Amino acid sequence: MTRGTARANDYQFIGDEPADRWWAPVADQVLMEEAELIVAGRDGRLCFLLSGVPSARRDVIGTEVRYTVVVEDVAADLDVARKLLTAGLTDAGRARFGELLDKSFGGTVVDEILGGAARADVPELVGAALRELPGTPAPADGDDGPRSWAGPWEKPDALDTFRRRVERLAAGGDGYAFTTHLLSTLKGAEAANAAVPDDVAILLVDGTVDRVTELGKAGPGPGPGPGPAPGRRVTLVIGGLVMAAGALIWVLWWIARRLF
Amino acid sequence: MNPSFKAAVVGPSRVGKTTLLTAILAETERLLAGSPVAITPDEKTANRVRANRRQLRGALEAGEFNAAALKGTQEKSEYTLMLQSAGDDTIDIPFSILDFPGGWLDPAVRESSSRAATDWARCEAHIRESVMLLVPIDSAVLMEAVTPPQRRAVPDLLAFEDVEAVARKWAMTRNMEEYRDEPAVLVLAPIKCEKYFGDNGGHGRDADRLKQKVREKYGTLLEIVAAEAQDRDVRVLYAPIDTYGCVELMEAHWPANPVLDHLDFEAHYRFRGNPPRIAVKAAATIMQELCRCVMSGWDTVQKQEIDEYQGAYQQLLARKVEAKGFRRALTFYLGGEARRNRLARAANQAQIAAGERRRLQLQEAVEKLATTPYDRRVEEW
Repeated sequence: MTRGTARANDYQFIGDEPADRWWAPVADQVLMEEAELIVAGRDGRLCFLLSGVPSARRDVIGTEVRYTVVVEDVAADLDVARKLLTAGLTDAGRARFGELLDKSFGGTVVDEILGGAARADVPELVGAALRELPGTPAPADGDDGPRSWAGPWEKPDALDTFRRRVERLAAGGDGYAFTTHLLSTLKGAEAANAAVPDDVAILLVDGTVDRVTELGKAGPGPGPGPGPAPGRRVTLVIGGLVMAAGALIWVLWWIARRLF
Repeated sequence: MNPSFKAAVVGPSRVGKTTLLTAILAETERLLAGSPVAITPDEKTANRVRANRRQLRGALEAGEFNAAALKGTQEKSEYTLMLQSAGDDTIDIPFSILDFPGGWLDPAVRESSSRAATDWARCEAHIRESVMLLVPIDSAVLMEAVTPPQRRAVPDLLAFEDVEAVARKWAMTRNMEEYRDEPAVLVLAPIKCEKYFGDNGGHGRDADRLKQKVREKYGTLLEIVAAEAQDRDVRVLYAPIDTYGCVELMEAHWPANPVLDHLDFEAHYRFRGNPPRIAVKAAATIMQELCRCVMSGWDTVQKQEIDEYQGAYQQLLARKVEAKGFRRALTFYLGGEARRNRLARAANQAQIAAGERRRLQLQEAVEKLATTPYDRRVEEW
């Protein structure tokens, strides 16, 4: 996704629009205008979204244009997945990716596509840019954190934990791993975690969370409050009725004895 | 009736919707200083506004002003805020302002993109429910079009037809019976108009010409709104805003673009003042008006709630005093209904008293807000 030069050529997908907006469950938790990374593992698929990839292009009023790149089904190609991860997590990687994309989509190519010119080779061009990205080694051994967690983007151990989470998603795990400029507190991350049905790993780009911190999913709703269970309640009611009837008989017997 | 109040910013791509919103929201504390209300953004809104503000300040720090410092909206964004009344911490009124990529206004874009179509449906629902429709206008496009080809480009650059179509639907919804008790305010807000005014550090003398142009070019929109909202009042405000205050248009270019069938518009700005300082002008009035709208809408909701409590109270009272006969009276008193009735009436009375107290507090706040003078640039049309 990118925009063209003219005012009217707003941000749109160039090439085919993804059929499934798999990032929708976390889209409200990130700032797409900034450099964000969303990785999703679903049903054995591994998908990436990188926003805020810089372009040297400018629109007509001089605004810097950027790319948002969606790459799907990369679970089988761990090398590409790691390249995307590095491009998504480092300024240098993202800048390099932007340069490579500009090589394919520079000049008037984007304006032509947005103007209606058919280009079926957009995925191939993005793929070529991806292949030129420098290779990235696997993350160091370790765990990938609690089921859901939030951590600081600037801390290397949180970054490593995030990378390992992505490796787990690549191996077939379900869930989301994403960076965010929109959330900055543990409370905000907890709310995001509650809003997303799957496990999440969240890197806060600018926030008050200082280490990888577990986020709790809400469990099943609270059970019935204190008080007798329904069966016991029926027993109590019957007992009460029997006692009341006994008391009534006793009162009637007592009155009858007094009167007669 | 809205449980949470809404406002929407409607304008084409690159007109400056997010810049306007940032100008309004980045300095709410200062803008509402001395007023009886305060606005608190939620975490996401605070971070969104901070990011926008950082970009704007970055443009200033760079020393070479880029009128388009903000990155351009690519997704729908909701700015969620809480309005609080000073002196009563029980008054927390949530409201949200919608910003969306201007390109989505174009039906052709929506047709070609399922993403735009899906998200536009949500935007449209938000817009229809909005108590305020804020229409930013790039005043440079309006004022610098001199030659016939330039003037021909203006309707497309400012997307008159698309904005009118949205305003029509908004006015139609506002005219529906269930929304007639809510406020309806349309704000025409020319922005980037530092060059044309002489009251904020500049020497411009074109304020009247700008007003005349807006009246002329947005006359159709005003007619549409008036026609669609025949059964109610729609308040129309003209609010020319300086979103920076410290910049001025130097040169305007109208480049041809092979993709478009009209000219595009490009502007170059220069700083004024040394060092240049952001001096937002007239944005406080928008915030005041928005607060007034939200509070007025909330007052209506409160009144309805009080009416409901009063209705329930009357029913309980009627049940208590009705002739019951010996057996039903025995059941009423011995079965515990009398106690429950008494407690429920007491609870209702407490709710009514609290609601009335809040309304009184709110009405005082609205009155105080009304006495805060509007910026002299702002007019009611």
